[in-house]
Amino acid sequence: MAATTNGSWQPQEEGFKEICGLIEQQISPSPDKTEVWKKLQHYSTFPDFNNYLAFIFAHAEGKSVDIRQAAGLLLKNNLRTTFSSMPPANQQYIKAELLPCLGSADRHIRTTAGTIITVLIQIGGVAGWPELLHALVKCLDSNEVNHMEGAMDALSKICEDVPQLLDSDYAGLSERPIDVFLPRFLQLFQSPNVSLRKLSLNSVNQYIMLMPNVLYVSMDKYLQGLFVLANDPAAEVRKLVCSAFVQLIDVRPDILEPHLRNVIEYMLQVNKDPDDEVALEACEFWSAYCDAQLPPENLKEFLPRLLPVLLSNMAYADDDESLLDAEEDGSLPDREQDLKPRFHASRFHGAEDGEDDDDDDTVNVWNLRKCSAAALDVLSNVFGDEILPTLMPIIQSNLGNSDDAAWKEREAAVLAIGAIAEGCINGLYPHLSDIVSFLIPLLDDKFPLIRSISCWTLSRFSKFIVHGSGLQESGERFSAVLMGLLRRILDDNKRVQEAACSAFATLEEEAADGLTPLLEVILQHLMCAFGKYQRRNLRIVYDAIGTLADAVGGELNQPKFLEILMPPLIAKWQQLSDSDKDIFPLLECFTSIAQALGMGFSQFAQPVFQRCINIIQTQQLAKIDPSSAGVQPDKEFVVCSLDLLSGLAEGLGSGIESLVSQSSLRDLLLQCCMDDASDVRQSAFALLGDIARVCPIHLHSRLAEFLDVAAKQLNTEKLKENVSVANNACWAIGELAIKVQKDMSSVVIPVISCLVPILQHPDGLNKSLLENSAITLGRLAWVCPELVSPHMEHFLQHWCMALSLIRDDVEKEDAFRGLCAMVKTNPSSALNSLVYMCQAIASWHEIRSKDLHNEVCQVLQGYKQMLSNGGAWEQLMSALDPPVREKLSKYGV
Amino acid sequence: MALPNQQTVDYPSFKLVIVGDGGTGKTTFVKRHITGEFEKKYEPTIGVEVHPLDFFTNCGKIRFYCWDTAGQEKFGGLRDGYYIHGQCAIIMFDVTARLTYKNVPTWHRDLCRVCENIPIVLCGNKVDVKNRQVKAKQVTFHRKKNLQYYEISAKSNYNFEKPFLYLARKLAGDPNLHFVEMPALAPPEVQIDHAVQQQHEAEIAAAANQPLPDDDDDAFD
Repeated sequence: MAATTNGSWQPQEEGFKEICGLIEQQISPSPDKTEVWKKLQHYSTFPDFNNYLAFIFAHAEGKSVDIRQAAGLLLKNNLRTTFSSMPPANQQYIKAELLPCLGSADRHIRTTAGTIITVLIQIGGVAGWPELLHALVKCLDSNEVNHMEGAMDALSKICEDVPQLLDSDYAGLSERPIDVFLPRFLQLFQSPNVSLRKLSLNSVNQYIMLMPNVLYVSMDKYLQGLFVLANDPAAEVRKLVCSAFVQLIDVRPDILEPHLRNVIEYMLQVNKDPDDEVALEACEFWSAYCDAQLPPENLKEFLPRLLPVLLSNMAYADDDESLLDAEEDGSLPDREQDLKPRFHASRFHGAEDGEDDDDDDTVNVWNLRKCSAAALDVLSNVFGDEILPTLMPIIQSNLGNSDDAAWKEREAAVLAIGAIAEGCINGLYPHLSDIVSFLIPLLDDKFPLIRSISCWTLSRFSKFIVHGSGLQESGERFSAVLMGLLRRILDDNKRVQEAACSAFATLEEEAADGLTPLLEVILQHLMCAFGKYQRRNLRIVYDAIGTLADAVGGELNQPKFLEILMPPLIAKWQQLSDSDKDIFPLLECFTSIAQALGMGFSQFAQPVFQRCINIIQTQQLAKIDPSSAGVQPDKEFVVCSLDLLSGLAEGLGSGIESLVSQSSLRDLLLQCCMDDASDVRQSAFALLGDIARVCPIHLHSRLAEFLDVAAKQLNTEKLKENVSVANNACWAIGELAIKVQKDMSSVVIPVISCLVPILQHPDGLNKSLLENSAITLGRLAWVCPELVSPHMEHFLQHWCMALSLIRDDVEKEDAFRGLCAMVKTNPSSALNSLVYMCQAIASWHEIRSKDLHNEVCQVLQGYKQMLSNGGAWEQLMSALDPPVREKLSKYGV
Repeated sequence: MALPNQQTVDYPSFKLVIVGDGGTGKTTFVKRHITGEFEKKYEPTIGVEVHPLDFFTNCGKIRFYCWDTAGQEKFGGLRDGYYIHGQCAIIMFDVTARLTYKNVPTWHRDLCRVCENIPIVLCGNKVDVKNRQVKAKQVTFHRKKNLQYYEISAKSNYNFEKPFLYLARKLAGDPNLHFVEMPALAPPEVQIDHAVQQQHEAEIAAAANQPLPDDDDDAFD
């Protein structure tokens, strides 16, 4: 469709109109664009389609700017993929059409030209378009505002996307492009045109990281420029000035150091900027300063002016979403869309790596209040108590203002106390008694957000509240805080309920069995909340009950407590159907209670056990045939039920036997151990281990299958992806081993051959799997030493290293029984690894078991005798660190 | 702002542009409002689809013309050409696919180059999936660019109205604006859709190898 006149490309009227029309329809708000797009795609197969787009963009003066801009953007997107393969004539045509657009009278055309040019230079580089740099310089030097703006817009985008492109040497150019542009950028800082000031400043800021030589040698001029722009009438410019200083202090603090006084003065001022975004950008400076490890003294003298600013910025802004949230009527039911999906963490045997994700959405809120509080926190960690003489009088005065209109300042003062709770703890300590007494009445303030922040701030002092000095006084303080929080748990406001439960949980963990004397009143409040809360906070109260059970353990096992706790939970239990997801937190809660009550739970055990079995059974069926099961398959139900069964096994011990014997648990469990879903397998192997501990007899008829599937979890290429499954399977094998002993023999060697590589290459696996592997290996060696000891040479060194890292406990005892049994069978195999063995033995703080202690003594003395000739024993001893030698002296060598 | 050929209504209306990688759930999210149904099938959007979404506020009815743009490059259509006259935007990523978060800066840049200074919400979708790859604490992009961030689940409806409410408040300049009545949303979808899951597995696997810059300056809480 192209026509060429005089060697230069010209569009045909028909094609021009058609394409313009199609683009117009594409950007109109009609709902279906598929047909139009197909037509446009048809045109795009023409070799000069992009020429048309360039022509429309550059010359379609009669058409709306929207069409021209859209044509330009479509051109840009096409160039990304096709420019390199285009005929050179078309490339030239497009480039030539673009350059004049930089000076277009229409701003949208200019900025779109800048966008397209940035993509082109990204594709072809500076060398691929030599005229561009000349054109840009010419525009900048033209003194025509449109041209200058267009060029600056393009340069600013190039600096954002590919800054290194301008900071490189090119054949034929005597200097780097940035050497030419940077002085011009700095010059433009003084332009009367706000857009030029903004674009030039933004361009220079992109080079702080790269720090080309030309910027380094112009640093004084740059800083001067920044100070000139510091009070620019345009907020966007001031924001860029702040961003420059924050980046400089972060990347090149040395450069800023001589100018610090001026910079800090300025930052103080703009922290109070009427524009929120400027103030927020400026507020980042203080944390960045502290991170830059500059001498704190330089900032210290400014603290009396900085702290009041931070404190005042910590007050809720008028548009903070929390303000409206706090007005929500507590009696309104929560909507489905207010409930964040939550997940049950499958049971795990061993220390978790603790990669807990905070599912609290407030973690992501970022505004001036949060940033200022974070800055105060950082400052309190750097300056410690030194900030108190300045800060405390302001806090006190804000707290003293009981005017309703000043509630946000009071709230911020309470937040501030919480923010410095860690950094200033030493200085605060002598006053904590007063501070806590002062905060307690604020729990009953008429403003809900003051009540909720007071819960949080008090919880920050949990250690003091629980363990603080002065026995009499301390006990009273503890119960006053606890009662205050319990009152707030029953608050009518949902946000306060949430804050109170969370603060209570923190206090609960600190106090542990110190809660016992108040258990009755705590339970009364929690169960009252249980009846009162809407769905969202109900989950939190389940957690609080679970945490309480974990904290007080067997103390809970008293009829008067159970009478308060159990009836509401059982009523809920009966009310929820087997397919209602609201049953998950209840199952979790029962897991904690069953473990805490131990045998005390037996009166509730039968229906709980039976329901878990039913849920698992129904879910197994649902996987194959949802309609006959009557529920949709959801593995979460299986995982929660398996974990509750584990809780029952742990709590009831062998008391669970009668329940297991009358059920189909064994077969269901085996199926779960083979499930496709890794979290189902993870929980299934945890339960396998727990059942092995308390009633292995009921596994016996399918023992070989259990062992086989457990071993498979360790022998997999996907070990790293399924490390938690492997961890639990490994532990379960060890538990089975010490119960069924010689019945293990068929799997001993296959399992060991999986464990050894784990011990040899622990990188990327978790610590718990390493520990469990070492223990399980030891347990297998203990029950079948004659099978394992012939291979001992291959793993003894790594195994002993892993054993050295394990803390004293009964599992470690088992492992050492295995060590002793093997060494007795095959003493000479261990000779090469004796140093490691001695180190492993020395890792014991104390071997509590008498017989094991004696065995270890015998082993060591045996070797001492074996090595008595030629000073070999003394040589071994001298190879050990003195503390190791000293530890060994406990064993008579 | 009056747009050419816009089907006009006698109450305030705004052009809302929704962008983000393919498969992050943009269409599903918008369609929760229109049909109230959870789209189980994954059919990539071609170019753009425009959906008018009405909301009822204490200041009267408002309409968002939601421009649900294609995330997949090959179906992109005019791509940023659709952003012209956008008055507000949502950038969507998928918390179960790292790569979709890594690409957020590019979407943001392209958006800002066409629509300067419009309110933007960043949405992390699919928080209903158990093993997320982008943890809440790793989401920091919004801090640097002054965006609002919400975790959402198009599947369970979690936080469905939040992005619209934030944008409505910004556009109206009224922080106290609130919705007085919600459009009917379908009951949340509890069933994991294996077809959809499989659709993304390859992408997720590829993204798993992409390290995330560990730049989470610990949030203050």
